[in-house]
Amino acid sequence: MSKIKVDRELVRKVADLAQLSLSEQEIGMYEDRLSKVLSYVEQLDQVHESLGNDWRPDTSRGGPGAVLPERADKVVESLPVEEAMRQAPARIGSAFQVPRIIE
Amino acid sequence: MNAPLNGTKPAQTSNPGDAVLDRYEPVIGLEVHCQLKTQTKLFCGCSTAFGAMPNHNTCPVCLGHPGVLPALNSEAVNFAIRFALAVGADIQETSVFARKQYFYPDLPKGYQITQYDLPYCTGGKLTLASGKTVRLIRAHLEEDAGKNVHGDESSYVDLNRAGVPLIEIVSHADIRTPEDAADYLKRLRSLVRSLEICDGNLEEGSFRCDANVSIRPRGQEKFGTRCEIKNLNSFRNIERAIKYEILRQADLLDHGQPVVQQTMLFDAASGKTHPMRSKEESHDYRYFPEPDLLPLRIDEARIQRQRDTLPELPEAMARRFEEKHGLSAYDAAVLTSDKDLAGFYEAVVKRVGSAATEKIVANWVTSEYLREVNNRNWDLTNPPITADHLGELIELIGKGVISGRIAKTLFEEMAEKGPGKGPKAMVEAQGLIQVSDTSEIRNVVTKVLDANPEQLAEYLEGRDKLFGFFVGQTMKVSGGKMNPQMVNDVLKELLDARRKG
Amino acid sequence: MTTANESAQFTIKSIVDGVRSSKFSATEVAAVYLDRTRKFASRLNCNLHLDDIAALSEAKAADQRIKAAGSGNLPLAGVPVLVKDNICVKGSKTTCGSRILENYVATYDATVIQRLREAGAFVIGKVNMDEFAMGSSNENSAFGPVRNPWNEEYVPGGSSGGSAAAVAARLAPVALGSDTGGSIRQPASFCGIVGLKPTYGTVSRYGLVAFGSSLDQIGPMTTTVEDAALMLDVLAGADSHDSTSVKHPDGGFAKALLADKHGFSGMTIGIPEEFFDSGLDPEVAACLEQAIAVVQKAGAKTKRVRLPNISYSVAAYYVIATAEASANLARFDGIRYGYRSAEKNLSLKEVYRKSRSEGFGREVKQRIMLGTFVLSSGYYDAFYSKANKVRELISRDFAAAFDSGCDLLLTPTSPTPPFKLGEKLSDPLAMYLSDICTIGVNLADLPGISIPCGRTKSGLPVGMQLIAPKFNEKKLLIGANAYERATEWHKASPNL
Repeated sequence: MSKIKVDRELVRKVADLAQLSLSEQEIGMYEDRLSKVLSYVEQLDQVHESLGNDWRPDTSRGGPGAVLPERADKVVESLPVEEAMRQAPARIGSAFQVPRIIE
Repeated sequence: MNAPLNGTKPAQTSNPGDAVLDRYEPVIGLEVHCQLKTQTKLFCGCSTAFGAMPNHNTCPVCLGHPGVLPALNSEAVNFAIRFALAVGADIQETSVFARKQYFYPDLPKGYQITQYDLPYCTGGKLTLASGKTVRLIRAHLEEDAGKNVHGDESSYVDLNRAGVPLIEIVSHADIRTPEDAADYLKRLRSLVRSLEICDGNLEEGSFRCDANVSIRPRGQEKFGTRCEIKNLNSFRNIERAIKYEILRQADLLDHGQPVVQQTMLFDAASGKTHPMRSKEESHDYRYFPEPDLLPLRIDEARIQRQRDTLPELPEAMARRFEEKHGLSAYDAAVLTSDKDLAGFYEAVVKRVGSAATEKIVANWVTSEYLREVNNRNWDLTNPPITADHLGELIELIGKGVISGRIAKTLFEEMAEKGPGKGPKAMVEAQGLIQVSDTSEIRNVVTKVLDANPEQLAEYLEGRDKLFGFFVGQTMKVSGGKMNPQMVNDVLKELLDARRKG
Repeated sequence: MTTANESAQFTIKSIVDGVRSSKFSATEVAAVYLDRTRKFASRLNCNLHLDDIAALSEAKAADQRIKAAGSGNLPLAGVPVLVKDNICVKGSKTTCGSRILENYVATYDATVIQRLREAGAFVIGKVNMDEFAMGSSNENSAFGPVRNPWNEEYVPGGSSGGSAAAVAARLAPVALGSDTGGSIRQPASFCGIVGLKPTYGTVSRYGLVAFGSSLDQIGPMTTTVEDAALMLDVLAGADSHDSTSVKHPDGGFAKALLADKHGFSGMTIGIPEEFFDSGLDPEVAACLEQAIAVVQKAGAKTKRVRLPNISYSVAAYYVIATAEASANLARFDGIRYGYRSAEKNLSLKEVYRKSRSEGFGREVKQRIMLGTFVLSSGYYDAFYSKANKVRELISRDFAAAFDSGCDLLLTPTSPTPPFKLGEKLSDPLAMYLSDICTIGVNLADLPGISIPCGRTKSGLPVGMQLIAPKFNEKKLLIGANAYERATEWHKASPNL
């Protein structure tokens, strides 16, 4: 795998995906820091893993006997709506208010 | 309120001009999101009841507060298994939940817990009225998002629906006409309602359809570029939207322009599709396996338990109606297209007992009853004329108390004004009891023959057609209250007698 | 009551004994510790939103519980617990050391809090931490760095820096910390106290604000190993709210400690050679050499083992943990709770971006971006998927080491002694590499404990780490306890 070029473009793109807005100076800073970190983690590429095609991290999670617990379909009291809304930065009635979503 | 069903034979709807269909073949795939009608949400114990005031059915988990974790609803898994069994899908022994990440106000955690690489079932199929088979690609479990309501300056977020369990059902692009698309959806809806895993309510949003539509020049193997039409909220709109989209794409291709892959919305008022604005940026959902949940393992024993408790499905029921009740394939299909309609029919059959055949009941249900259902927008789960009422009415015909004609009038009256005390009471109150007394019929028929000497003479000379005239006159004189079969018999008898004599 | 000085020698055990023999009540215990807190907490900056009134009402409630249930039935009767501020205490601020949750009040209690209260303990305060548990020095808090009580120019370690500093300063006998890559053990070693990270799944994560979901565990930070065992007894247990929690096959950890007659004799302790290479600070190496000698003298055999893939552990960790964190932190968007940018007339996108950019600190943003990147289109296989495969290899390395005849493994907790405030902030990798001894333990889901094992020439604490196979906390605690019995390090506390 070739070394990934971490440039301002990449930092902007990733910041966009993560809903972060960065100043030009910050972009430069993160470009530098991320470049260092990424080139460090790229060493994973060197690891030759012989786990075989049948082994997958997602299906092996928890080990062979692992059982995903399930819950009975019984209603549990919800939060009183005042509690649910108490810390809303903006609300109208019992709904969360956000700037108009454009669809 | 259920979407009205059309009990009459399907009318020929106008297609995108035949010229277009000569040149292009539509290729349609459908995605349906079915809300599972469990009591609680997929990952928390909040109620799923529809219609609560905003944010009254929420808790730290479905609000996406810090530190919360998902806990899987067992019944949702059972419902999902039932669906897979009903369509003959392969249920995977191991499936994995995944996070699908994007930012939107109705998505509290900033990701949706869904299934991606390894859904709980793959394959399966649905057979349409036309006999065509539509293959399914997969179905998977996922949580629903909340709802956004838009004002002028702001939007408002209600998270009651966030976390409600869904199964997303994806078909192959096997469908070739808008009519088949609508039929697929109707059958799917009927199926999930029969399974009692979803109430199939398009208006309330418990059954949501997206259509993927592309066209290709006839004879070309390669699929064209497809567009996705989202949030189609009635079967009629689904057909209209797909038809329009086919025309739109054909028009582009005819002018040498490419079809651009985009997501579309259908505007019911104009009948047109148009692109969704905010979706120009293609999403990078950054799927990865949900670390807060272990893999879901479904073993054969659990599948068998669900298999053992499956209700009779529409196809099997339709076959039973054809074989045991002697109904036509068409009538069987109409009756089984809706769980409540089928139930209504069977209840009427039971009530009528030996007084009339199933065919007669089927006829009443598919024509008279469905006509009123459609015209008056009746709720099939709670119609004003009950199975008991209709059964009583048909029984009265079968026992010869009233004629079929009178019964139809009574039915319309009950539909208009309400059933009141029921058909029997109405018959008595209005003095509609049919005359079946042979001597009285003879009396009246004789009077009619005597009162119409010219027509009698013509009939006796050979104008057999006039038989109907005498029947009509008899019915007129008797106010329609004579048993028509007996009138026929008596009239025939007396006319033959006059011929001889 | 006792003098403040005497109280500095309290342990969980001595508090419970005292409450049971009616020497003092929970309320009186609280008063003593709150007094110390008023004296020292702000200097160290280890406590957050200190609220005496809540602490006292918690203590009162504990006394009521004790009266009702009988102190003999409550294993932690009267014990005040400091809680890392990423663990939800209903009605209390839970800031995670971040501006984005600066005024956030938890709407429910974490399961561990419920269990502690049911056992007779009470919450005496919330403590500072690296923002969202991302850091190894507690310099990433939005509320200022925490100082090491042994020398206030030095860091206490992180991310549970506030927990470690407070316990070292005897502001409480115990603090809850959280550990994703070493965040309990490393600060415990920097502050000369005991820090236990249980096997993944042992303690419920419900109510722990998630960082690396497949790595996080809550654990106790105490002054003695026995105290850690007493805490584990109460904290361990499957929770229906946490699908990754399991019923621990063992129990009665404190009892097992008391009953144990063998200590180290009969045990074989593995020494992974990768942790003792030239990269190890010479003062740390010296302390560990002494520690190994103590262990051998106490009857254990030692043997060298290899963990061939361990050098990739930091890389694998920073892919997995940041990927999971980037998703876990997406909920902080200024819509339902938490910080929202005060600017007017923002579009929806601007609300998201400004709130998050203004609310999150630098390290958090960096890790979110790293995590977002490694999961983004085209990179999943190379990074996240690969890192998880490497994780499995590291797990198998540990398993093989134990299978080769080792009961426990012994390593330094940190490759360096505590460093100065500001020393490692400019180089992102320098900070990350200080986790090199602890990270593999999280990747392999194993239990690990740090216990004090020496001091540098300048008097800064050095810790040693013991690691056990999965769910072998009993053996782990027995070994740690045996070391503690054979040494005096745990008796020392900083002069404040």
